[in-house]
Amino acid sequence: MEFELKYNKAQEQFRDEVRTWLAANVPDGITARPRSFEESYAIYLKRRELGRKLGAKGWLYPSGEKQYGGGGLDLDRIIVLEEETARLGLGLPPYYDSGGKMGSASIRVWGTEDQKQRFLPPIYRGEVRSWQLLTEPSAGSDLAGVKSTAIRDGNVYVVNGQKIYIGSHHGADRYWTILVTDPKGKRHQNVSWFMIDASLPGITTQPLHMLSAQSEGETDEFGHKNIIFFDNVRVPSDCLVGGENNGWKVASTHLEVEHSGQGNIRTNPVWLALLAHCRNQQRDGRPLIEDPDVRAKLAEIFSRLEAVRLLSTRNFWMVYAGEKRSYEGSQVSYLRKTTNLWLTKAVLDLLGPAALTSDPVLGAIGGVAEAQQRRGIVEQHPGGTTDIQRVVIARRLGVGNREPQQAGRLGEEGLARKNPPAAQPVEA
Amino acid sequence: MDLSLTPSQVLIRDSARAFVRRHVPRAELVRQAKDGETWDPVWFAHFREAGWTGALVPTASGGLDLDPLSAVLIFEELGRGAVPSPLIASSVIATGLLRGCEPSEQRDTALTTIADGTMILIPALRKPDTSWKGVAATCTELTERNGTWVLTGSKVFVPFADAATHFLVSVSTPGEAVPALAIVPADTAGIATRPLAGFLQANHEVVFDAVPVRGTGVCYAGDLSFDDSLAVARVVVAAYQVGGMLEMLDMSVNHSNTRVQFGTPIGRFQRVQDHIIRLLNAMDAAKWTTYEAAWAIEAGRDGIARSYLAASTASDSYFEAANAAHEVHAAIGSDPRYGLTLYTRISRTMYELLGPPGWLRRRMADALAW
Repeated sequence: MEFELKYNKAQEQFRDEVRTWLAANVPDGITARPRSFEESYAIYLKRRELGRKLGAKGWLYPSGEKQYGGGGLDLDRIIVLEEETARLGLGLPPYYDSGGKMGSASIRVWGTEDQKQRFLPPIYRGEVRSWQLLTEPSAGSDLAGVKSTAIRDGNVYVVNGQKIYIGSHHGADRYWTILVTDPKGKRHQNVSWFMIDASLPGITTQPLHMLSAQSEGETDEFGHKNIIFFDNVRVPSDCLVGGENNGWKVASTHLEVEHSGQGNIRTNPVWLALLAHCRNQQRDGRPLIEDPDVRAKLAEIFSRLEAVRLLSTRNFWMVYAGEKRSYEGSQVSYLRKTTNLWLTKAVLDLLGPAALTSDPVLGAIGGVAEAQQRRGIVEQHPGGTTDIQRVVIARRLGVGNREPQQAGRLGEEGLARKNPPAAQPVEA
Repeated sequence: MDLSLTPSQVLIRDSARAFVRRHVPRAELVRQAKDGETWDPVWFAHFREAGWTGALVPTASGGLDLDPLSAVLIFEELGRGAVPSPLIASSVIATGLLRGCEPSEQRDTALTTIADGTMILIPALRKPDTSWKGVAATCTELTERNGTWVLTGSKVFVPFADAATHFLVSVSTPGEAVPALAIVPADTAGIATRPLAGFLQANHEVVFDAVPVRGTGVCYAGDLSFDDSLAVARVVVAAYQVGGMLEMLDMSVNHSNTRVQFGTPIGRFQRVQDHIIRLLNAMDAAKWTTYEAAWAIEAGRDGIARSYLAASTASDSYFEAANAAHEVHAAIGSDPRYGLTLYTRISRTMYELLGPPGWLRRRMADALAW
């Protein structure tokens, strides 16, 4: 067993290439915390532009197949890209693209060849931004209880209904959504997935302020989400992915991605910012980190976060090594949610009320701490509540004398085996 | 033993409850929060008419001088309504500090005008980049210029500073550095107030730039330390927190009975029940430590130690109860229009209002002479 990522010469050369490219192409201020809609929009445009440039190199969705516009990169290079973008405080994609991430994964597994050729390239090249539309006013945890309908009418589906707690600021080009295609059908056998053009007539959007939101939805004191209404929207029938009324099977891939099944190798950015803050910030005439109470609390925080990081790293390895997965995705999702909620109090204990303000002078860590206070609460519910994650874990384990439930397919399984990792020590 | 309320205490509680029900609709609180309004002068006028501005002021100074439990019952109801007001800062905390000071004309005048509602005295205690080690440790040193004391420095996380007619500033005298509290009119030249944005309610930075302080405007600690003299204030603040938990419990039970998922009210699911029970336990722990502390102060039975216990328990519990309520409500709870976030924000804002829970527990241990 080897936990350390070791890099070969080719990887180090690739790292040099990536680092040089990012230095030349990542604009200033792209990770700044927006304080107004205008600032948020300006940052969003920068992120989209960067996304298109990354997409042109195949680095936006590096594991995506090359013939569909993805990078087709091996695990060695994906790791380097993850690390180098994370070093700059960016993710891949560098904007909120939930429908792109989960939609593309689902299309890879469940889409037809024609759908892969139509839908994947614009996502992989950063030409479109997509949101997932799952929750409805009466269907949150109970995803199979969605009520919005898509009724076949010749070569189109007519969509009616509404989806809530969607997206972020600044709109999307496509919606990846689950709809009822057989209103009289049995639960789980009556739904289908669609990739819908967001500009179709009959679609309207109503903004919704939440306590917090992801990525560019976040500004001071609230997060921006939306309610999306569908009023007799005519969607071409070839936008249905995975077969009519087969949506619950397609959902297994979508939900596996959403429930952290893919894992990652990143260190929690809040931790890095917190540690740096405690090293640099003076309190009672000395750096915070010299206070024994602060050191003890930091150590406690680190211990909790390390467990989450390690299990997420394990998930990352399992997917790419083609290991059989079970409960691992929901386990990480559960632990990340509960740990981030716990972290809100730990940070408040550590930093005091400075953790509660985004004030440019008095706010700790440039407002990062304040945002974490809100986000730690809101993160409890998107992508399945902690309760849902526990249900999934129990089912995957076969608790209650049930047949253990299988993990959803991701489409990236065994990437490392297809592309044997060159995990050799760096030559001196 | 008799843990029931007296008829007069029931009357006081019901009066406060009726005010909240009649005059503080949640939709109005949501609107005020959205529009950045921190407090409502009309509601404050009602508090004045009801005598609550002088609830803890001695009768000799025109107050009601309520027993601690009666005050607890009023503020529990205000907390249940999430009523935002400088009442706690002025009529509870500042009043508690002044009552602990040596008798003086300025102290008594301040208490009288707090009681009649003409003075809103806001404590300005915390210093920037300084950990909380009690009121006396937050003092800003006065300097002497041409025979006049001068205050220069900033105080941070000052609650409801925008409502202040006066500030009660922790200072130390020039030379001998005696900890004291200076009563400074808020409209004095050289005072600037700045609201602090974020996940907190009505907090400000107050900057004092060469503000003259009259020697007659300075009060000194009496027999008790400033912190120990806040025993009643701690218990009343804890009661406000308990009220918030009671309301979150009602909201959570109601939501669990009306929100249907998987074809059944979510309250039927044991995991949802678990969150509600977590909330209930947090609330009851805080409620009964608060009630006992109020009794202990009145009965002269380790009241100061019990007040520290109540304060630390209420702060920890409110935080935990809010988390549990959000787990019950999921996304709906994070929508500010629903109203739960009003309570969540207060649970965070009040977490360290009178010191962090860990510090409060250490003071409890000291008070119990462990």
